[in-house]
Amino acid sequence: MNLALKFKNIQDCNGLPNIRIVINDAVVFENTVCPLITVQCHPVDNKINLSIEHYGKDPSTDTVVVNGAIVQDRSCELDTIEVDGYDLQELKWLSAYHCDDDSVLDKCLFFGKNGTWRIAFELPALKWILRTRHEINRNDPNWSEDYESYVSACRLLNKSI
Amino acid sequence: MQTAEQINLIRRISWALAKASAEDCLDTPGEFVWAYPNNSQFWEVRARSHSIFSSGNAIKDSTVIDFVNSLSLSEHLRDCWIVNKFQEAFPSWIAAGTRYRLHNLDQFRYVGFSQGTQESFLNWYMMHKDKRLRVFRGDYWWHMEIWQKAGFNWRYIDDDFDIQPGDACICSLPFALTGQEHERFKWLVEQCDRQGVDLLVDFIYLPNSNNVVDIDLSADCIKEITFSLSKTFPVQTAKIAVRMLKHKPSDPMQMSNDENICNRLSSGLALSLIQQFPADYMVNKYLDQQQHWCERLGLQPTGVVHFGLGNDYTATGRQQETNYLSRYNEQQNRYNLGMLYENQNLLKNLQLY
Repeated sequence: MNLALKFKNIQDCNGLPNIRIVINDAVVFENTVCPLITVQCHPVDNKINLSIEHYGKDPSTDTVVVNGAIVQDRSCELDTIEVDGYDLQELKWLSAYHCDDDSVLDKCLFFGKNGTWRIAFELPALKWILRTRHEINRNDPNWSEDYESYVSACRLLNKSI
Repeated sequence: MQTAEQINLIRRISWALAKASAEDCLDTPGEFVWAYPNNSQFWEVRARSHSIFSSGNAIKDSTVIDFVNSLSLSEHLRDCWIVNKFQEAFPSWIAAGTRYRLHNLDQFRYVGFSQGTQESFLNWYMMHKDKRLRVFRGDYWWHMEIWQKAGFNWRYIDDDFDIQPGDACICSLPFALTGQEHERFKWLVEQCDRQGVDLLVDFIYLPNSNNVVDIDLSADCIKEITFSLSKTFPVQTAKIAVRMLKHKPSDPMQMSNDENICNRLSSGLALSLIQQFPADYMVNKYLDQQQHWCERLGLQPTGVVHFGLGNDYTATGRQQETNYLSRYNEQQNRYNLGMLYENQNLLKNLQLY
């Protein structure tokens, strides 16, 4: 599986955000965040649990508050998630941010507090995207047949899916 | 008409050619802008797969493409006679076609280069703006789309067979939907003649037709006839067409032609093409291919060499885009086989031939 994560609005405050990316319990990346992180891995299971932990932030030193307003804050935002070349687009919102203080923020791509952002999807990513979109929108009843036709064509031509 | 196996093959071919187009590995690359996949991912390939058999576009014949590539067209910009040369050469070229008969073509003395037949059509609409415009269902959807958008008074002939003096009619021959003469074409000529109604005969597919057109053009109602090279040679985007009339027209297009401001690049290209290739070049070359693919896919061969008729190819596996580009496009039973002819080697390699 090829995973590409793009981050935006990366804020340095006494250092950049530290993140740890975990796929099905295996740590695949651990470092300060950067705009593009790519990961290659070979998960055994097609069901993928992807988590990105934001850790090591000390609010007393890594956030600057002036007159009650935050003027500087170590943080970042997850912008896009691409799996095997397919951008999950709006499906990235099928996720939640589990803060270390036990609060859960649904549909939150902002890495402010220490905590872990989680999403679950399946491989092949394209098939999951098509099925999930249809389950949500009920507007693509032929997705499965078209997916199979597409995969057959790719195989016939020896091209990537 | 078609077996489940044939329908499945049509589907597999559509997807394979669409993916091949996106991956730039067609035998004859190059697509028309509206159909070109932006990338090789699923959604673009799916959209392209929907249009493999649609449109009436010409066969992208590699010999013609090589010939066009060898031409130096810019020199025509400086040749103030190039449009005239083409206009003078065209009637005898079209008349020399061996697979159709146009009686009394010489009555159409006024020959004009047209920037695609669309330019001729627009001028015809304009000059008949006070008429009720008439067309058979299944003819070129662009007419109806424009009429609707521009607020013209129009009605399908199929919905009202009463041709009245205030009407003006257009009909393609061979008929765009079927590749044959429309079953009511002769009736339409009689009705138009009787009522004094103008009839424009659109010979859009004539050069690619095989023994389905035999027409006496002397009928009074037939005031104008149009031809196009866009469906004959792979030069669609050069917009090469010709209109011929019995009486000199007085309309914007004629004014421009009289000003000698026609497209010289296209005229030069057109002249080179008709000097190099006979009108029936595509029929002579691809008739066997039409036979092969119609048998393979369970289609009925039409009188136009790059068309076959079959089940509505949008009826299975499609909820959207069933009317391509326009709701008036009702040509989903007509399969354009050109892409199959052009990609014979690829399809053989993929064991889809």
